[in-house]
Amino acid sequence: MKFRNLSIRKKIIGIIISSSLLAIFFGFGVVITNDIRIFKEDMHDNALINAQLIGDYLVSPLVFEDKDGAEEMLARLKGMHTVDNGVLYDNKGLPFASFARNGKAIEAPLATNEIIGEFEGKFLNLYHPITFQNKRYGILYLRFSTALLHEKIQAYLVTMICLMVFLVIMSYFLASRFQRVISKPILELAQVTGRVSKGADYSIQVQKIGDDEIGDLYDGFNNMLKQIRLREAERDKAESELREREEVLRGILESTAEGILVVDVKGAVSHNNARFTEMWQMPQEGFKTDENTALIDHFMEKLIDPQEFLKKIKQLYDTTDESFDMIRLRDGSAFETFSCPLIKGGKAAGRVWNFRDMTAHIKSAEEMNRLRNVLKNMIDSMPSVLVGIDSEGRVTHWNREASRVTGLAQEKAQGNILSEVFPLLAVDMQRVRQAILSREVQRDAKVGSQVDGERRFSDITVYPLISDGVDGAVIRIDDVTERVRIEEIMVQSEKMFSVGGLAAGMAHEINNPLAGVLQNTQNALRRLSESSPVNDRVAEESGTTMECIKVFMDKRGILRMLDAVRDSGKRAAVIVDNMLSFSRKSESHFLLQSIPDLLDKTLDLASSDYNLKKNYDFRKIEILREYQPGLPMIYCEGSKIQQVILNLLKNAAQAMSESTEYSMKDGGAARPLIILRAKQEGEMLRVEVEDNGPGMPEAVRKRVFEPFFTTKGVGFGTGLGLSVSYFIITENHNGTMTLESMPGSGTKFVIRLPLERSTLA
Amino acid sequence: MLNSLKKNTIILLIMICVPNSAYADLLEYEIKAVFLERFTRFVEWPHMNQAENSLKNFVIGVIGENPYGGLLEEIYSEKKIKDRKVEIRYLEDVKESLSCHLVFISASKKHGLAQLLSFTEDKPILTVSDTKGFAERGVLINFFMDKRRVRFTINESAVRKSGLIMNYRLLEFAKIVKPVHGE
Repeated sequence: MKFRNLSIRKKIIGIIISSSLLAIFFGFGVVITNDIRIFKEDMHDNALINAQLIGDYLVSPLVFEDKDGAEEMLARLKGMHTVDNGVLYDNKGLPFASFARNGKAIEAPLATNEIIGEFEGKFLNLYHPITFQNKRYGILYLRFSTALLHEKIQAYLVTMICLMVFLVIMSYFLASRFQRVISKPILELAQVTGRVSKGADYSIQVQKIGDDEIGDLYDGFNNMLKQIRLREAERDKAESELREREEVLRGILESTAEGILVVDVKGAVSHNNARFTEMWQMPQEGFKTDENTALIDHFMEKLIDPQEFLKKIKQLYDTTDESFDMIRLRDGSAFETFSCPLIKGGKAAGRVWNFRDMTAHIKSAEEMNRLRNVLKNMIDSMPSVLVGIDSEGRVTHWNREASRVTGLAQEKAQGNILSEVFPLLAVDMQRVRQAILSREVQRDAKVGSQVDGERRFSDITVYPLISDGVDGAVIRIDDVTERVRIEEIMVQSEKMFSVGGLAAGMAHEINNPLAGVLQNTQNALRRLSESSPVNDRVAEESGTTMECIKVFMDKRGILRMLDAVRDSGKRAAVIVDNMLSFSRKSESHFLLQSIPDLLDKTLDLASSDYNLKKNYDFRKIEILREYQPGLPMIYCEGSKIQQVILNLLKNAAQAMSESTEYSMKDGGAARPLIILRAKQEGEMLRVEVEDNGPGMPEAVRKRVFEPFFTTKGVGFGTGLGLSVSYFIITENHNGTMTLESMPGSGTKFVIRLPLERSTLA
Repeated sequence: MLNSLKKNTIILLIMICVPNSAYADLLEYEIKAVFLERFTRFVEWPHMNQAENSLKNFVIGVIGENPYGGLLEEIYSEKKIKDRKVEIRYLEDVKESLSCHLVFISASKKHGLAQLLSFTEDKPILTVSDTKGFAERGVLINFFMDKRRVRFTINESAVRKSGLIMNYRLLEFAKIVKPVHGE
């Protein structure tokens, strides 16, 4: 048991006893050793005196060299009980006389010249020179037995030890008595202190006994308790506030989604929240505070680019900079790290690291990006123009088709007012606004527009965006030109086939009677007007002559009538023939032809056509030829194609010359113009015949290919020209024939002919 | 000096080596002669340093028949007593003893002894004899033979009377007659 853990009572007793023990031992030690020394010295002195005495008596025997006398003198040593042996030496060191108590002389030890007395074992050896009047005569050696001395010392020691034991016992007795004076008040105070600390009751006060230091201690203790009571109250208050604040702070620290790590200036962890441990998969037991390298190693293991991070840390730890960074981990996580110095009392006391797990964020951003790309690609892949606008009409989305159509890249279009970047829609802005306001889908089908001189149709659909509070709309523009055209062609061909079939059927039926009419009219004319042997004979037989009949016929105008019948019949035959051609399919006359050549030939033909000249001057019309060079030759029936083209040219010239409206409108300044175009279009060869005439209204345009439909005055046309042309192209050549026209903006006929013969069905 | 030392040494050697009887017979007087000087070691003469200055030498007187023959001269020719040269005088008259430190009274003076002693007894003269009964009669030191040992008797009262100071060591060693009992 250690001394400092002993009770005060035992301590005081211990101290007193050990002090008295020390004093007793030391004192007794000194006294005893001194006494023993004195005993020895006494003996030594006695021996010396004895030796001197004896020596004195021995002077004379030595002087007179009387050995017997010397022996006699030495014999006196018998009276000295301590003397054991004695030897007298003469001046030369030779034994002169001797004495032995037990009758047995000891072997004479070597003589010396000095007084020497020394204890040796059980004896005291003493050498004493014998001098007289400054002259030395010899040396006396005496051996004293120390038995008596030892007995004396023993008895002395026993007495002393008894005394010491008595003193120790006394001191213990006294110490245990007197220690109470000091220990009692202290023990009482200790007891009270124990009660105070056990019960935490600081209201206890102790009663002072005296005015000594312990009394002061009591006062101080009472005062201290009072102070503690006061301070404890304050401290409890402060502590609860602090704890509350700390809990709030800890709660904040733990509730954040960010991993927070606080390191001290040496880089060792001082704080971190649970989120940090979770994010970095820190070992459960954590790292010891001095293992900052282990922490960094742990980081290093997880990072994709640990060296970069390490470099950054080293740079940062030397400064008080803040840093904002993104680090990537091997497991695919990405942390946004923010680091700032921790300032305590105006000095950098470490560094705070915030780690925000951006993995999901980045993934979702990537996903969003991907989705956006997919959507953009999807939108871009659509053949429709898709334009997103906000409520103010500014472009927010712009797909590739929109770029293609407008020629404006998305970047340039974005943010601009829709009507500025998409003039086509300018007229429809009202509809767009209405869609946004009413939140209803607005559709506008087959909106026509002129693009590159071509009439195109679009379906415009405006979808209001109602998904997320933001007002806006998506405008979809579908180019339905082709569809419209096909629809028209379908309708046209349907109609044409039914009408054509009917007409052909009729022509066929009419053809026979008409043949009879023409045949018979021909015969009648021949028989009435020409002189032939048969006519002459029959006339003679009838009693007349052919001359007479001619005269009669002339006078009655019968021949003229018959001619008229014949002409009408012929005309009807042409019509019928045309009508019959509606259903005629023949490739018998197909040859490889160059369309530009055919076009040129037809132009030559047109300019020399009498009928044309008759009605208008073809030379006044400007002809433009726009042929694509290197066009392939195609299989077709040249005369038929020429017929179609000629027909179109005639119509155009006629339309331009006839229309006073047209002339007036342009103030006669505009020169009539016909453009002939030939170009390849996919697997078709496209031929266009365009004029800048008055154009035609929709109602006319839709019926223009119908047989017998004509805008010309009666007698000017049969209304079969375009029908025949149509059938030549569609039926005979398996092509298509369409027209585009708007009143006031000219007319354009488009013929498409297959390039390959195989495509002919 | 060297010679005397040699002689002393020889004598001592003889004393040690030769049995007592032999040297007692042969050298009795030689020993006695030597002893004379030894006695002086234990005796102090009053006024020796001042008054006796007149006597430059230590004077040994022999009164009566000289038993020493030439031994004394031989021994003391070079040997000094109390750092003085030794002078041997053969006294005819007792009065001559006044100038002597030591006087040897031979046996021949047996009869005139009382007269002689009456003259010397109160004077610082060391009287030595070798005749039985002389000490009792008042000679200070008297030799006697004890089993062939040369021994001597001292008349303590006479010594006291003479005014000489005799060392107790000598007294202790000698046989004492007429001791002085504590005054």
